Amino acid sequence: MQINYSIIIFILGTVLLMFFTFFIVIFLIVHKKKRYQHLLEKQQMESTYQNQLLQSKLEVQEQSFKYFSEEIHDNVGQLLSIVKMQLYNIKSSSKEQEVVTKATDCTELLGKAINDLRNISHTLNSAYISNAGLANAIEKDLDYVRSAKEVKCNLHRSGEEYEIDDERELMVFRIIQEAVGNAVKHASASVIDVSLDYHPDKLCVTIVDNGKGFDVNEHHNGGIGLNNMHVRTDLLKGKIDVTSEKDKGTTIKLEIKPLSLP
Amino acid sequence: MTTHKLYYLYLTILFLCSICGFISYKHFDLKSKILYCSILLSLLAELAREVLVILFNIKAPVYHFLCFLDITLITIYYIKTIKLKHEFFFISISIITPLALEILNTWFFQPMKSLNSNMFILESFVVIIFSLHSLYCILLDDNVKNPIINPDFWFWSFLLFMWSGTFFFWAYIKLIYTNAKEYVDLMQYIQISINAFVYFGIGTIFYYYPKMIKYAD
Repeated sequence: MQINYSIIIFILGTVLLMFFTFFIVIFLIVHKKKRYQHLLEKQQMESTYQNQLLQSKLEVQEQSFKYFSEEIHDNVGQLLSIVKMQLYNIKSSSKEQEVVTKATDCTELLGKAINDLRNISHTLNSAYISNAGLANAIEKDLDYVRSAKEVKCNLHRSGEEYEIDDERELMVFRIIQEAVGNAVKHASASVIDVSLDYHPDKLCVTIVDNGKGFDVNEHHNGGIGLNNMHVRTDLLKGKIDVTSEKDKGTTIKLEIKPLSLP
Repeated sequence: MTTHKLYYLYLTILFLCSICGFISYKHFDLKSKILYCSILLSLLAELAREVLVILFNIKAPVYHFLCFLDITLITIYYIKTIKLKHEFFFISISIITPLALEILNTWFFQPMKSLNSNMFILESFVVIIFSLHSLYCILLDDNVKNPIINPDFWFWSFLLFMWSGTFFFWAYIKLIYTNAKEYVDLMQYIQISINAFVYFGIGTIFYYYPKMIKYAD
């Protein structure tokens, strides 16, 4: 009788323990699968939220740029134009040669200042960039750099040009503007080459300068300008590659697909 | 199929499992190598048992050596898996304790000529507890996204399956051998089937180990 009980316990115990093991293994696989899916969804939601946040930040920045552009164009620009007219009047009415000469010099300098301010105003204004197109807007920005900073700037275009939507065009322009600005301000470059390569499946932008360069690893998370470039590239769902060596200049390569933002 | 034939099928599977382990050995990490040593030890023990049966018609002494070495290896395997802080101390414990218990068991309870089932029960406890703990760790570890491609997950699962499946066998084997020989075949049939299934599973994981590691990376 006791033996029969032992046999029953042996069989039942073995079956139960094996079932228990089987249950644990299946539970673990299913649980992990669900948890992984949950984590993926959470990451996607976080990524969407971060993108929206970044987009809002850039929209606020664009609004500020627009405000400055309008202020420069409508207020400072107008005032300087009035000053220029007054100087012209002084020059016309004055009989002293020294006054005429100084007024002429001031008028010329003022004219240059008004021109530069207009360029700045245009490159800050998103509506102007949309209307002018990417290549023309870059040319305008490079004109300003050429005249104000005495830097040799070149724009190269290749491939059959096509239009990309305003929002993406503006972001690409801001990336180039940031790169050119960095080359002038921080790298003290004397030559800047910007290339726009229109491929059927992608737009490649390359900005090369001969400035003093920097350590990419040191500045990867530090600089606001570089960070903004990366943020904008993420929003464009593109690729950006920054290579730089001390005293050997910097090369920035940007690749985006010419499709509309989702 | 008779128990005898099933036993030889089990031996073949164990041998194939060792071959699979040998093929993938260079891809193994340290803990997998320790587990592979344990499998090799089982194969050697089974072969030695056959020789002893032919020469002296006894088989129990082999299991006395196998069991304490197996407990030591399996415990070291799990110590490496859990990544304990004082590893050297615990490895020393895992060598000394089974040896001491084996000597005590042989001296007082189950001499060399009889099967050391007490030590196998101890091994069952050790493997079940460590396997459950390791599986619990995998449950909490968010880095393990897909356990199906994790070889360790399958090793722990198969070991848990084998030792929980044979726990009652070791607990009742003495009793059944002494009082109800008619059930011995049934018990052995179940035990050998479980072992054969587990070594087949471990052999498969050994074979696919390099691919699993590559995919997990």
